Amino acid sequence: MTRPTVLVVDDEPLITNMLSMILDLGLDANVITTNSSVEAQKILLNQPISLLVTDYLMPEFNGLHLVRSIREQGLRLPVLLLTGYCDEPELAANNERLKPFEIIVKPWDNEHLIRRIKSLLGQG
Amino acid sequence: MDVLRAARGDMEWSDLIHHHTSFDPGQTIEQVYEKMLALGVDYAAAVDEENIPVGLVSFKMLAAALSAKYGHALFAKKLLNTRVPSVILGSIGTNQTEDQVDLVLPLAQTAVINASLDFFAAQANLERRPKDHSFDDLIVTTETGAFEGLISMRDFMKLQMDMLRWQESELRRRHDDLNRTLIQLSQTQDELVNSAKMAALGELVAGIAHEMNTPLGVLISSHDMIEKIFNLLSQDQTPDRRGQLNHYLKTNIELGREASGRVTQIIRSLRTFGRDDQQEQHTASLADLITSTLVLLASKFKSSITVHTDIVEAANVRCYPGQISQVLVNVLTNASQAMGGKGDIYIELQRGMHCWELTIRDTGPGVPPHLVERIFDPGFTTKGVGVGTGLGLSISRKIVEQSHGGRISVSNHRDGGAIFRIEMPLTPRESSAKLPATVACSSSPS
Repeated sequence: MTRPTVLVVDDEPLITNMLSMILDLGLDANVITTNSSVEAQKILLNQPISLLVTDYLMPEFNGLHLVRSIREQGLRLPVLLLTGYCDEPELAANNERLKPFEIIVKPWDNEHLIRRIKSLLGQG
Repeated sequence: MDVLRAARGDMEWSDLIHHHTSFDPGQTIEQVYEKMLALGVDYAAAVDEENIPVGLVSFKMLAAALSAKYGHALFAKKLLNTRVPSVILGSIGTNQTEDQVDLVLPLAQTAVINASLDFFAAQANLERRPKDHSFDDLIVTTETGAFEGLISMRDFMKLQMDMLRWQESELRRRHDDLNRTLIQLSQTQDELVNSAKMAALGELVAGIAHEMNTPLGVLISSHDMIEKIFNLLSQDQTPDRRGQLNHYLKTNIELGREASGRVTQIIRSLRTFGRDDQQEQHTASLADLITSTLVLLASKFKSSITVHTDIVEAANVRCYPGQISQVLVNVLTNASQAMGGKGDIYIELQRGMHCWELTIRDTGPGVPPHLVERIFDPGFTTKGVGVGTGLGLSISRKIVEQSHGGRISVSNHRDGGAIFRIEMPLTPRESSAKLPATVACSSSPS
């Protein structure tokens, strides 16, 4: 079985650096990071990604926009959205058609985060 | 000009007295009176407290001086109309003997009165009584000239004195009232500025909490990670893995330090904004105040507003830092709202000839020309219900202009968008310093 590749996108280098370490130590997976939602979109459309971990609010376009755009392209990879803005109406709306899709509220708990990612990757 | 000086209180009334050479002190009042009659009625005799004649006063000068100082009260028709009738009742058929006794007392005054009847009558809408009447009675008419009654000169003078006293007490009362109102107004303005600051803070709190979330989350994670890495390092690892774990350990420490620094910066910005610094001005860096304000607004601007700064780092001003932060929050929030929360904001700070010039430009629709004059009016807003209080810019003007002696204005940029210009006085030290270099940078707040 090939090693899964996880793409982490957040405009905060603090977050991508931290998540990169957490995932490397907690998962058996390759981890790619970017601080740009536009760049993330390009990566997703051009190479096989097993799971997307994305921030919500980013300067170019937000994480939900990114998920919608890849779903429209037929990509069905699981997505984990990390946000401090859990009360945003956009996030509270029914996101059934974005599944597999989960939201984790910042600040996260490392163990819980790893458990959810493993579950989405089918490693649980 | 002496008359005006006496009326203003710059000189003593006694300075108006003209010491006539043929007028010897020690003469009786009757002798003086005779002399005055010979001189004509242009002069009145001035007597001291014991009624000893001391000199002559030009009647015209005295009348003009009295008129300059008290004319508004003496001849105020409103007061005469409301107060005279009761005096008239007592004056008609007045006791001449009593009047004459009284009139003997200051003969000089009698002369003044006699000579001034026409003057008073003309000024006070009073007419001289026909010649067959005693000279000390005046006819009182209504404003349309209808006969109202008689008033003796003694009562008239008494009335004038009452009016003066009333007017004086009224002026004093109004002055005290105005002073009290002024103090209350000043307190209310301070309270309003503070209330607006608290309201702005309330709006910022949610965003600031989110801004704190990122570094705090990283700090929590880094503690967990360090513990985990130590555990892994205590186990058997390949040299490569051990090297990587050591690298992660170092990275965790660096991330933790950066996160702590960011929390500190947010707390410091909040403290600057929230400080109650009305008591005393401080020397503060405008560049630092701009930076700390952008930290507070980072969450609000994050997703769709790019801030470009071009600021002189060493721009010190004497100010109430919390109030200047309040102005910056107001103007920047206004810019954000004008652009519908999406666009670019350009902040430039440079040294002018006599002040620091701070401009904040947005890429919104600009201010319609007919509203430029009104935009700083209290309560003025073009925003919808629930968006802003309409007080932010008004309070900003009060803070900049009244509290700091600066200036705030708005205009439209040639490329579109509104441009707010804030001018802040240089500190005395900077007034004599060389022009500093400008540091340019462009950033998108995170």
